[in-house]
Amino acid sequence: MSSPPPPWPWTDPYVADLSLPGMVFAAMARSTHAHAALRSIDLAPALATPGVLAAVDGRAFPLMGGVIHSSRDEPVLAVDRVRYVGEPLAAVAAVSPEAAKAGAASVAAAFDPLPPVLTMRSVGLDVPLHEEHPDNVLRDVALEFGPVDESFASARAVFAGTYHYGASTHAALEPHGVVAWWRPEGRLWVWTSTQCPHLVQHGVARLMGLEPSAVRVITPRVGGGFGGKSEVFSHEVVAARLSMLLGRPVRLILSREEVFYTHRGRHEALIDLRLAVGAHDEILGLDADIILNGGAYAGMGLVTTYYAGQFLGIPYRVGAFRFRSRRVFTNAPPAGPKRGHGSVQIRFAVERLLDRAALSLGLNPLAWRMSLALKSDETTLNGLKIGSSGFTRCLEEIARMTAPLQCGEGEAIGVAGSAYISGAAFPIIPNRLPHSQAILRADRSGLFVLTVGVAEIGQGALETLRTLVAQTLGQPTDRVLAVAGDTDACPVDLGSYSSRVTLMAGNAVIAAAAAVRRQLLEAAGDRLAVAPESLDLVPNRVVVREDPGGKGMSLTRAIARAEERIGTVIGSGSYAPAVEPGPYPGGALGPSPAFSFTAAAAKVRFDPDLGAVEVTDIWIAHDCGRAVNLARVNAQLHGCALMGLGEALMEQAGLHRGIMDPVGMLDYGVPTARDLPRIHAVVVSAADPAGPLGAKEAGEGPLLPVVPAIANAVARAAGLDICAIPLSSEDLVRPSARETPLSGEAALR
Amino acid sequence: MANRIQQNMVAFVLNGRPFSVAPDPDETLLETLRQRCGCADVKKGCDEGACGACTVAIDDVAVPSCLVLTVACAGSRIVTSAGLATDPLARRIGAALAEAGAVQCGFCTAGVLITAWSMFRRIPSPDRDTISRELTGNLCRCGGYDLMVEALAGLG
Amino acid sequence: MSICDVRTARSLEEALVLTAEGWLPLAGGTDLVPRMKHGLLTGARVVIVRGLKELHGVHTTDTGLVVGACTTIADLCRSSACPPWLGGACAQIAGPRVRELATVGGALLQERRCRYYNRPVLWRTASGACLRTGGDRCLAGGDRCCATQRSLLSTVLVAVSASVVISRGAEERSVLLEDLYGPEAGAWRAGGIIRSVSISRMAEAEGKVAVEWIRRRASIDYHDLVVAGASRAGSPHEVSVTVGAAVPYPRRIVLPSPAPGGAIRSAATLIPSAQSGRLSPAYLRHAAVVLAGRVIARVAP
Repeated sequence: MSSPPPPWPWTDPYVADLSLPGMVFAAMARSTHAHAALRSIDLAPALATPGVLAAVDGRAFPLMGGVIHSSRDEPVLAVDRVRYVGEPLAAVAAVSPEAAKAGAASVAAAFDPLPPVLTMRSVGLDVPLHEEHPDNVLRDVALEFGPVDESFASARAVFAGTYHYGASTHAALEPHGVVAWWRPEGRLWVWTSTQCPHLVQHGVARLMGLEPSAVRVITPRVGGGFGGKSEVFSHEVVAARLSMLLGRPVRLILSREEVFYTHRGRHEALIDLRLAVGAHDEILGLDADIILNGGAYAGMGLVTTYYAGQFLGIPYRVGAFRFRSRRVFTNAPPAGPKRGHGSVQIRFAVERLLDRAALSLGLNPLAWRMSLALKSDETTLNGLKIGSSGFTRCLEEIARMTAPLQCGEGEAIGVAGSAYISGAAFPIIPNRLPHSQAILRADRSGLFVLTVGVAEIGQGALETLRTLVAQTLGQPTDRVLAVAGDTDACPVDLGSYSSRVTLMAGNAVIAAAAAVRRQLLEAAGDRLAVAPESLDLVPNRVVVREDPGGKGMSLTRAIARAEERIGTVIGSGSYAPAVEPGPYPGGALGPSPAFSFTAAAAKVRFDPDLGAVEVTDIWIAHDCGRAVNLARVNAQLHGCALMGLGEALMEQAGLHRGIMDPVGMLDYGVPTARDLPRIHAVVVSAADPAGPLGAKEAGEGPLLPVVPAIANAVARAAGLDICAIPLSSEDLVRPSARETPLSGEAALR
Repeated sequence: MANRIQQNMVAFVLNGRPFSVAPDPDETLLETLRQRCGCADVKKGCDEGACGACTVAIDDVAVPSCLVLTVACAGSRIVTSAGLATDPLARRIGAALAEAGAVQCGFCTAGVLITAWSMFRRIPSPDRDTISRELTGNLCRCGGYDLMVEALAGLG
Repeated sequence: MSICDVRTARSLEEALVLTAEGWLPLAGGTDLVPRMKHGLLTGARVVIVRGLKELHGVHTTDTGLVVGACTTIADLCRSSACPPWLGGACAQIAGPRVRELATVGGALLQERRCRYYNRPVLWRTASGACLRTGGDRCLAGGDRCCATQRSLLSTVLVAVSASVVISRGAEERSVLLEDLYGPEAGAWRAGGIIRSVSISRMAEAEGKVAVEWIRRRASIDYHDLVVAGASRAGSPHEVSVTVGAAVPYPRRIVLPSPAPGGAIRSAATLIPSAQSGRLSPAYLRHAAVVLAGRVIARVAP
């Protein structure tokens, strides 16, 4: 008897692969103006296009969208103003994708152009994008912790720098898309490529004027997110409306160009930073002034504004710190959360300034960081409780891996450190409800079915959760099935963002599994006349711990006994962080149940005549508390290294002449298989009491130190101060070299 | 007289089955495969030949189907990843990629499979250098290149 | 409709009749299809020439290497007749999937590119029309189109004084590739079908070829700048530098010896002062001089 062939793991449908009876296709019309009054919009030409069945514009959606309650400023479809090139204007449903596209192209819109705000430096000088923000600033946050001015006055040395961090985007390989179906029984089913099904459920319901109970959101297979699919999007809402009009399923898949206009990528940032160092090399103070380019709408930007400053100090002990963080509006696609949300830019600035200081003070950059490292059980000045810190060990690993290396001519190694949250302690919509819920059912067949609201986006979340359940139950992981990402079938999980799933859903599933374990052992104990506390679950059996070869029963028998006793063998668990906010306004943004730590190094080869940088190696040591699934954690470390490399050297997505540029994958520089350096990844385990089996995040944190490690290496190799990301050959090329005659003459003599 | 395509019908063999379609002149093979032939296993990632998610084999050569006009495919033998579900080489490639953890979000995987399958049929024992060169036409945003190269290097 | 008719040519003669009437030849499609998707073709009629036997084959003859125009870049790399310097350069073109489609002839006749031109419809509508799309100015600045042919293959073949056999209507000519890129040959570039490319033995066997470039990634990206150096034994010994990708079409400069510095710097001024790509003209001119020095050092006797 032959065993079944190995599985074909990628044949699950993604949203663009879904096909339903009677399904029609939708496309969107978008603004060609960066800033204009929308005088009128005429859907008649679209409706007259052959094959077009329905069309909607902004008048169909009276409520404003926006993921944060207090900053809902984004219409589903533009009503009287457009604020970026690519902003959705209308949507058209037709019998074929081509007819829908033709219909969308024929929508007639009349614009009265307004002066556009194209850079974040033009704060307050132009026509404000939003009436409620006449100075074009969404939020201006200023927080101070400890005696900052005194710390600078008494410092042994003060260093200052101005840093510019460019915008980039997620470029997940799968474009966004949705299938919406207004069903005969009067409920809306929405399949969408999202990181946050419950968020989409509530957002679509609200914007459609429906109760949340009328909306079911299902995630098919999702081809990557990286933060770009964690909001409620226009295409999701308009597809729902079109389906309601037609009574047929509507599929709307964004083109790659549209994905670039949808954006929600890394905020461009301008950071003025000062560092005060004390007599014993301690950081006496940090002072940052941060301006973030938020694009046309708020989106998740309030969070970004706080995160840019709240994580200023970590992973280091800091005597005092202060930040002012402003997020300004520009006529660009809205920026949003990209892996490392808001903390990547500030990390670059701090790590660069630390490196300059280290060079100036003659300090070894790794040893200095070890002396500054936050330790377990410390609490930062702004109230971030560090339940566990493996940062020193991360630095030691980097030192171990890089110390023996020799650098040749034009080569140098740079290092950097960071910390990141394992989920935000407080939800976007303030409440005291659980952040994650799990239900585990023991099936009569001997399988365990885990139901969670988590969205699997390629990070391996479901495998990790299944592993936690399996370990709690003493069974192999393949005995645990996961049903996930369906808001009808599954309980709530806030979504795969903020690096929260391993910790929060992990704790919920362990609680559910513990409940099932109790039920099984009580039933078995009852049948075997043995105290349940003396029993253990091992693969496929219940055994007496002290005598595993003796009395016992099969797992399926134990499940049957439990069913006889109590009817249904189901356990549930939930998790809400037991964390206090910082006692100051905005103190809820920053705290996390646990912090991961990372140290990175990069070795570069620099060509001064061309200003060219080659990264030969990246080392990452990441403290994730405990690697529940080592292969998946390792994959995240590699993925973060590569994304950091891209962000440092080859990715750029910002305005050019008022239009997002580039808008395609040929021109946007996602690293290829030959762009990757040697990557050396090490997992460090400083188990956290708040984490499931001690686990902390590994999805975003490892990205943070990669960009500054590369920048620090280039700064050392080139003998230049690096103050801008991405690194640009034009900036790095030796200024004097532009004028001098070069080797050609010498060669021919 | 120039050869006008008979009633715009284009006949090709897809995964071993004969197909005859009447494509629009500007229709790409990617569109034909997904919309007319039911090949949802071929993915659209960028539609400009840069990301490789749409890679199929035409007469054993792995190419981006979004750059191929269907009208130019008369008489071609086209293979997509679904069509290789029982092919022993493809099965070994798929199993190796999955075991190595190189299937994360999975969106690039079908294209990677075709690239690898076509490569192994030309080069039975490729070294890591050759493998990574062949893979540069398949972007993976999850960053799994190292894992893919290791998985495929172990198959030679 | 971007393309309103497509025919498969059964012979080169048929193709030439059609191209004389304005039909566009289609070989690999790696230039034409992206332009089609960007809405840069309207009402185009396309004749498929890819299957024409007379346009295939890679042969070594007495006088050198002859490559059929419909040979794909990948097939050329794999051909045993392809010399290492040419195979190494060709392996840098585009990416491995595109190299299996793109042909030698297509690469040599690919349209010049610009960051304002090779963009989708919505983007270009927002940006405004340029000289090539019905506007009256170059969006990069100035009143002349600054687009460049971003072709590594063109640059390398100009560097070795390759020639092409090209047909247009009833005429057939054998011309230096560099002359095909000259200002008088526009009609041939636009309406001609290259049959084959010839590289003489002298260039490959007796001389040396070196290529350097600026490119953002290790694959896929068009090159920003290509500088090829070639030396040819003889009396006098000839060293030339060819600049491509950052100039409208590749230009070859035979270097005076001694003191080639002035010639190299004047080569750099061929780079338009309006920016059509991701790098500034000032940087590209600087880099051209640097790369010229490097290739000269590699090919010098």
